[in-house]
Amino acid sequence: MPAMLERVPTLSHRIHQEPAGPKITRPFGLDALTNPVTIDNRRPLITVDPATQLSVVDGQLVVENPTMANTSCTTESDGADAIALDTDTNDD
Amino acid sequence: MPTTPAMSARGETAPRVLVVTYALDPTADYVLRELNARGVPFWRTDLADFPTRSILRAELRSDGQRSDGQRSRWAGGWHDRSRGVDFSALRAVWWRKPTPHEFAETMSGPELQFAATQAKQAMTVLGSLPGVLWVNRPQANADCTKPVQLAAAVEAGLPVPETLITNDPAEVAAFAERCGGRIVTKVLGGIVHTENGKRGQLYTRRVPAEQWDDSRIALTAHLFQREITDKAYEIRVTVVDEQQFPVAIRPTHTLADGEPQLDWRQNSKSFTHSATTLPGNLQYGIRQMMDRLGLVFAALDFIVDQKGAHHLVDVNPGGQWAWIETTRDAISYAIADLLEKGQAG
Repeated sequence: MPAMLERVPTLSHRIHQEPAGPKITRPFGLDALTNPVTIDNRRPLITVDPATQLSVVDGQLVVENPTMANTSCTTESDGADAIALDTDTNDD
Repeated sequence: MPTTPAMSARGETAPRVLVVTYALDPTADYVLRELNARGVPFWRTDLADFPTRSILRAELRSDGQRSDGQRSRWAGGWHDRSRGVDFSALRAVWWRKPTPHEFAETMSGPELQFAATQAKQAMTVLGSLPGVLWVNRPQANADCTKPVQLAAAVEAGLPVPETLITNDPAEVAAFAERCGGRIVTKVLGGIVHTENGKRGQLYTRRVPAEQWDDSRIALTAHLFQREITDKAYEIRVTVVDEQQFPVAIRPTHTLADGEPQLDWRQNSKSFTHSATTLPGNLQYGIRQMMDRLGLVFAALDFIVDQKGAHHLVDVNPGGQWAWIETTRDAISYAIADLLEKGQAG
């Protein structure tokens, strides 16, 4: 594995607080920004079940939680859910 | 609490499969549930757990002959308080959705930068281990950028819409005219954008003629592509090694202006999914492209026009797939098969 890990895609759940700059220097591509929603800092407790090693949210196995189906944890980045998003640099 | 090749700290057979992903990964869970059902020992961890919650030890050896005849120069393993992998036993790595390394909160910025570099470089020891199947190698994921993937697709004989990447507004109008006046713009990176405490998405967007010479195109690189104006439906093809799982994605309704939605990610619940088949030449081209990109897994997006022609528009090396119920189980089993088998040579 060459030393390319600086470019390894990883999830980032950081929400930037800095406001947009002036219109004249705002990249054209950001005109596509859709449905920006305010994100609060409330996050559920996310753990891994020690026995099964499956995802657990607020004490419940995610695969057994019907409300998790078709959220952005499992779908594309449709912004329908605030718990986790695919923010990889090159996959969605 | 180190592990041995024969037994883990929990008294289980030492894992041969390493799964690197975020603690909340329901898509991975479908595969992990299958591995549990099969009794395949694995260890799930995240880069975020290293070094604060897991320990790595790698010692360079001059001999390093393993029981399977492979020669490994690095002995040791990576483990947490409950489980881990011994390098001599490792046969498969599923590199899913890792999150960045976490360190002591009291580190300064420069200290964090140093620590992160050290941790990242150390983790590359995994890539030097012989006889390990990677799904996918992280550098293959990282290299699968839009320019690289689209070029690989063309070289593999897959049809790709005409594409222009530029920061020159003067080039856009001529390109658009060559495309019959209908072009879209797509992001070169991820579609999620956050600022001002808000999160939004950057979906594929039509570029009208009055924007072709927008001076702000010059502020950075942008990707423009011919719009497939007679789109009939889309296909998501999930590729797992030699297997392909194509699913047709059809809108349940058109937009108010009678146009189909440009980007189904914008409203994924307004589409139906059904298993479909791909022409033989397309299947062959996909295999060729996957080889060129060094990928074992990917989720591909095609647009099918009214004439039945397929146009490749995206390659997602870490794409999601569990949201499509039609193929969820089959893909889960295929990935579990792959991880269970690992790589012999």
